[in-house]
Amino acid sequence: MPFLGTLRSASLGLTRHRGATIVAVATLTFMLSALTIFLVLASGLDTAASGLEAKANVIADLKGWVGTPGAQGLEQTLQTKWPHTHVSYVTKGDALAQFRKTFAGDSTMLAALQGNPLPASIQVKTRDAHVYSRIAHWLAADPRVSHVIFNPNLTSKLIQITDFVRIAGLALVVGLAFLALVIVVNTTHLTVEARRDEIEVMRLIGASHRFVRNPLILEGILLGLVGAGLACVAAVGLYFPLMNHILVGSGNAALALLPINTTPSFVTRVAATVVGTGAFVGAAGSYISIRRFAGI
Amino acid sequence: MIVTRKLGKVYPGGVQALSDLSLAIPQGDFVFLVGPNGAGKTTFFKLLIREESISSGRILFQGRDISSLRAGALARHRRLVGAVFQDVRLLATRTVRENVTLPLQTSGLNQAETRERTDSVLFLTGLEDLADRFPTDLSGGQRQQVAIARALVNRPRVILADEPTGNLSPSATERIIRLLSVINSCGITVVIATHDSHIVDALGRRVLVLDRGKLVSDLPQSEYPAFLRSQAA
Repeated sequence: MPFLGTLRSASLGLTRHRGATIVAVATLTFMLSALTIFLVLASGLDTAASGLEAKANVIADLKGWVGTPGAQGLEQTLQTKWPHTHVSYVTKGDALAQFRKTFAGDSTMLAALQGNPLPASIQVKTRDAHVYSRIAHWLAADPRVSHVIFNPNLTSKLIQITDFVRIAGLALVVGLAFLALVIVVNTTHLTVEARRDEIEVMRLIGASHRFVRNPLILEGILLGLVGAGLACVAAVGLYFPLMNHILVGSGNAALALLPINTTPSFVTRVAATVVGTGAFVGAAGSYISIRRFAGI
Repeated sequence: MIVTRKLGKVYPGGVQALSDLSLAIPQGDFVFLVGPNGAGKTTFFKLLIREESISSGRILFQGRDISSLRAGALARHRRLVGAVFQDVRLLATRTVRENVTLPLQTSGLNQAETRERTDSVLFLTGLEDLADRFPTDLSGGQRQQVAIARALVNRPRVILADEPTGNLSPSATERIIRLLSVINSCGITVVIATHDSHIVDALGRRVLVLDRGKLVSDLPQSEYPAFLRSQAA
């Protein structure tokens, strides 16, 4: 059957079985709304995790005889060995200026400073927090380095927290998508059950499996798209402002760790994910139901 | 046209619905399939459209063994057989026209040809005025007419009608039988399963008698009254 015929048949199925259609759309809207919330929360968790990761670094004080060329050589070697590292070189002068700035209000500290006792240093940051320990060991063994400042316990804790946060966020989203699929399969089971006679008659008058299956799958996709559309409308009109108010506007420092991103690009990305998931879950739910409950 | 050889059907649970059924129905024949409840009439039809699987033996339809058809070939086979089911099985959410059109859509016909064929079948079966009604708005006889129209629209080689006049008024029964006779006069084989000996007597056609899954008689109509009397004795 050509696509337009399939679309017509699917539309007919949706409009003529209004009860099942309303139940399916309501279920999908609810599940996809929950998915939207979790996507936003997971994004907030990820942003928070990135914030924590940004606090981790390794600082290596350089020996007095190491000048700018020596520091740059060290920087190049580090970036060759660990391509995703960001290395900043702080000269003795920069370190002194920074010290003066930090203790600008503490005249005792500034008065105690004679000459410039601060060493030049390099600060290493990397996207992959797991490699800090290796970088610190490597730097400690380098003859240009006098002292390495690295807190393995803090970094290890940060890694554990950020890993947990990311995995938990991903697990929530995947788990919810799976739950949505299970619920949709059972909801579309009702639709297929309501059509059992229709499906049987179609088969007995010579309809191919594809002829019977395609309109039902297209119905699933349409249901998923409508559910996703309603979930997106609810998210933009309700969830984003509400969560922004609760998590950011509440003034609670612990909750404020979860920044809610409401930039157009993020909202578009969430909407695309919800719409794509809706269409996929609708199609997959219908397909599985038809296979399981109608045997085609 | 339709040839069965030692056809058998055992349902799950061991119920033997048909056994060693061998018969031949030539193209263009008009045959009554009679017998008491549980004789195997409906099972025979179900095997002919492969609604049920065949337990033993073979069915040759136009020389082709249909017992092992795959999904695609089975769908094509079913388009050659117009089935009128005992419980009618019209789609309640579709109008008369949509019900009748359905088999044509499965054949992939274009819209113009679909409309033309549907109109001509609705005319032939006297359903033009009811085309936009839903099955629930129709009488039992009208629903049977729609079922026959749906069976006919794909220009099948054979019409299988399972108790097409069950629970119908005498006038509706007459209308249905007349319609099936007209269809048969166009060269389409018609096989009717029925309990109603009045119809069998009235039409004077070949009669296949089934009892407990076996073919007990294959009679020309002229011998059927005598057969009934012998059974009664």
